[in-house]
Amino acid sequence: MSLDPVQVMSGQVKELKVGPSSNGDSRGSWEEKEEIDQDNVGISTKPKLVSGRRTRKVEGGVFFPKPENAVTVAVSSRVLFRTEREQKVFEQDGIEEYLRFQIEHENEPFTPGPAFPFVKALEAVNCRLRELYPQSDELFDIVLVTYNHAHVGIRLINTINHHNLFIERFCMTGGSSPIGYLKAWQTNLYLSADADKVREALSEGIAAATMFTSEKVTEVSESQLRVAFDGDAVLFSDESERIFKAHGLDKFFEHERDNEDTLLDHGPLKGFLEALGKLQKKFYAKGQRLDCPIRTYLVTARSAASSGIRALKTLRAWGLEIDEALFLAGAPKGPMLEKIRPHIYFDDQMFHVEGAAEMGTVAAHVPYGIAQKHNAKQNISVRK
Amino acid sequence: MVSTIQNTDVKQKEADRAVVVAVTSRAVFDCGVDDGDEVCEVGVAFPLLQVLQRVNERLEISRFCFSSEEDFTESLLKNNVHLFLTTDRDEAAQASQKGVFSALLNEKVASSEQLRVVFCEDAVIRTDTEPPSASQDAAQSFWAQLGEMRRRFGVLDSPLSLLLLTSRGGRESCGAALQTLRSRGLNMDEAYCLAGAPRSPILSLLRPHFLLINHLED
Repeated sequence: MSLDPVQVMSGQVKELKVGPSSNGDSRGSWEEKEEIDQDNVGISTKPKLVSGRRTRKVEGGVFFPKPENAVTVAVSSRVLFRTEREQKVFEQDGIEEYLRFQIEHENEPFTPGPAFPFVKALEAVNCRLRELYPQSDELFDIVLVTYNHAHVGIRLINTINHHNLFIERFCMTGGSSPIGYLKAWQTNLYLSADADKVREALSEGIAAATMFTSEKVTEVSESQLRVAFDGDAVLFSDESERIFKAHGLDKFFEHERDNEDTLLDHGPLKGFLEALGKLQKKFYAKGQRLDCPIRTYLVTARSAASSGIRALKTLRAWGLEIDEALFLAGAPKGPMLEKIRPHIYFDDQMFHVEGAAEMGTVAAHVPYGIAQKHNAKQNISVRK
Repeated sequence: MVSTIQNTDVKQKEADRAVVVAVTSRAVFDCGVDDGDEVCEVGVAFPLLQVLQRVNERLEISRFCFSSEEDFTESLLKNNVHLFLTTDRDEAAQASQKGVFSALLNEKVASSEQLRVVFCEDAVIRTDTEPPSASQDAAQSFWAQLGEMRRRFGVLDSPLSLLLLTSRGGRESCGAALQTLRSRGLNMDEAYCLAGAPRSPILSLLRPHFLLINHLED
């Protein structure tokens, strides 16, 4: 089947009143300057406070958003940075040697990992948000959640400094599960290299995806965050996919047609799309719809003229806008994603994740729904 | 009136090598209405004692000391106590003023498998302008011993775990705290940097036995 993919713009323009009261108060207690014992600061580089870039000073202090107001994105150290060499030491020589190695290389920053461009793009959005709403803490809050031991802490902090990242919150759990902390931070999205942790997060209702390191990575925008989602079992539940897998394509079409006006149930990433939408509306409210630094995409195997309708109706009923919906009607996703150049693409099927990665797109696997049973049967080579 | 009762069931370690921990009996046993011969309920500090026992199974034990209320600080000093634990903030402040390093016991459920000690940032970083007080000297001494103790166990399966919690500052202050602690011989197992986010959800996940803080009003 090689139908041309059809682009459908979601044309709804909602009227939104964003009052100043919804922007949050600046926190007095965060305005106090930190007292640092200068003799003991052994960190190699101090962050350069370039105005207009990373830190925003609010009345003399540095601004940390409240977890309930921010869109919290938790990343593990293995997806934010490349740590293959260290992983090998751990696997071959054990944990004591691994920690010794880390401490020995403490002043060597890690190189960027698969989630790095995504995090940089989140920060670019934050810059724009701060320009428009300087007092608001409705921003992206990037938290490093790793089950590394704190021995690695100094190296991670040095690396964050080196790359000029704005990450001020972290949990180094020293081996215990980070899931409780994800909930405590009110995490909106968790990215990790460990599929078990991701599955655990999903089962606790936290949007999560597994990321992989790939050698081929195409360049992405530094000024506009682009997030692409698969439909079934990512934004929506896997109910339709179940029908397709059990009864085939015809039955799937029939089912979708019969249920066109029934909303699909929500999937694990719906909440994250919602959070992105809320931030987008802040730009629209200031007349920046065309220049919005956040852009969202639906990339689905559904067909525009038939099964896609149910997807669009569902999104509309949820009040969620998606900037571009691409109905591929079964065509491969790789080439389309290569055109879009998203910072991250979420799909529940490893087949698509790998296909995307082959063309240089950073794709994250959402281990949810019926497709996972089939994934387990396939011999998947996870690129590390 | 102070009396020291030695626990003859266990081997007594040399006094100068042991870390002496004193816990108020009110925290160990919850006696409620004193019914004389009735066995008391377990108190807040019970999981702590279980965990200390676990640490000690890998090391070796110390002594029990009972003292009355009025002159408890004297008995603490006399017994060269390195750490005094209580749930009573005033008691802790009193002991601290006399130069006995004190900490508040966590009243919520704590782990009974692993002794978890949380270092709060303001206890780690302090300006060097003032001369160290008696309580700060006591703190340093205790920490040095804690660090030494931790080193005797491996990274995994340790019955003792050291945690750093920086509440207010960002990664710079957390990094500085890690460096400071390391320079004092303490390598942390876990580190949490809150940058102003609420503390209590994180604390309830950490399940520490006690927090080491500089100011007991914290």
